[in-house]
Amino acid sequence: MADTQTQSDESLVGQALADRQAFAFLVERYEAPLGRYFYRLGVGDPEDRQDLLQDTFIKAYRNLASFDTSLKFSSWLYRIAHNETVSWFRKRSIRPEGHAIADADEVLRFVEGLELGPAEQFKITEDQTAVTKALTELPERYRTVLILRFMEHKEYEEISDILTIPVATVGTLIHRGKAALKKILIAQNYEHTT
Amino acid sequence: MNILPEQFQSKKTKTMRIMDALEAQNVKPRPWYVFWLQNYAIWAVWLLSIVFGAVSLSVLWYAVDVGWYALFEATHETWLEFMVETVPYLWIPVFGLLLIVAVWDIRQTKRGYKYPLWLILSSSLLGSVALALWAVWFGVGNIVDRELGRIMPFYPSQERIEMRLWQQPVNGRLIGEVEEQNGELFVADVDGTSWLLDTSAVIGPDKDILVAGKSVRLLGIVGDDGVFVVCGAMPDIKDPLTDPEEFQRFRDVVRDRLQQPQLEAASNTPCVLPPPRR
Repeated sequence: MADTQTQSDESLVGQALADRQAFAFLVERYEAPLGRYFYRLGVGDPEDRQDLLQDTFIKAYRNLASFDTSLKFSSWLYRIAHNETVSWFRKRSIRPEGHAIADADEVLRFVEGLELGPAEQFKITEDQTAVTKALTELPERYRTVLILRFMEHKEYEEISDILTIPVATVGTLIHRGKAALKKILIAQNYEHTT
Repeated sequence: MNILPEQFQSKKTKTMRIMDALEAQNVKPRPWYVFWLQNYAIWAVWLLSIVFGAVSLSVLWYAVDVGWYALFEATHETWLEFMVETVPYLWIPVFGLLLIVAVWDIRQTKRGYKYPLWLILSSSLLGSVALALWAVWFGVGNIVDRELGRIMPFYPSQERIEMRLWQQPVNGRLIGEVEEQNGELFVADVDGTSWLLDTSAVIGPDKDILVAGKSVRLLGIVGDDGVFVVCGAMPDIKDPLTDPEEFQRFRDVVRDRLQQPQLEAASNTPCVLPPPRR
């Protein structure tokens, strides 16, 4: 089992199909990133996140034989996680909570991605809550791609596989999302200074 | 029984809780063939929607084709007016619906989301059109239209439309099968009435189709004695032995005669047709 830790996801999938216990290594690999992803998508309560994690892995295990090896396993798993979160919000008819950003470094990286001017970038980096607030104000389709791109650091191709949309659409959504977020951040900044 | 790898047994980790849930619910991976069947079912639905889309197009094509060699001058003021009344519009939404199904279906395939909508839409459309061309070549539109007309009493098949337009003896139009008794020609019309024919005014090639067993459309006048004086004859569209070129040839002959009634001067019978009335 020691070798299992260095094995690729795809190889572990093959083993897990025959032996459920091999799936534990995939769960261990992804429970923390997925937990963070749920948090960023706005699931604030740790118990809710644990429930979502459990549902995601149960669904993934049940459908493991449908995993398309031309995809990355992480993209396939994130897709299930994303769909679970969307239905979780829909079932409860609630809006995501503003927990998107975990720490100052993350804010810095995120704001850098927005290509703001140095002064605006500095002000916004100072105020983490402003970014979080602005993100929650964004329409869901923009918020998700921005989180995947700038917080989960996914490539366009991976985002396309996770959200099941064409790569070109990912580019468009990121471009429009950034513009919308910049607009909100600048407006917020303006409100603070007047 | 807990048989988790050692490292997960030391404490109740999140991983352990998830694995416990898998165990407690006895979750097993669905067999591969379920997904395989699912995948092929999706492609089968796509193929069916493309094929039926092609059939819809071929019926529309057939209707337009029939329209080209129908003698619309006898029944309508213009060709456009004729087409507006005879095109089976029902097939247009049917085709649209099948196209939507095809596009939706492609999106459900494993990699369907990777392609932009315009590409899926245009490839499905092209697929249907290409298949429709093939179907038209083999007369699929004709067969489907005719058979649906036979099965469904309210389906406006081209045969049914033709019967409606041509079963109007008072307006100088008659449709039916030619019969011969004691050297005289009759036409048993679609209502079952037998009409004695006076063919003395027919001097062109259309005289050749006035033979027993032929399904024909006749233009003429009902005389005072109840005899149908034939001014022009064309094959009926359900005649399987007549090809489109031949339909066109007869159509042109009869149309010219309609436009130049003086050609009939050679005959003793006046062949002045009434204006188109439906």
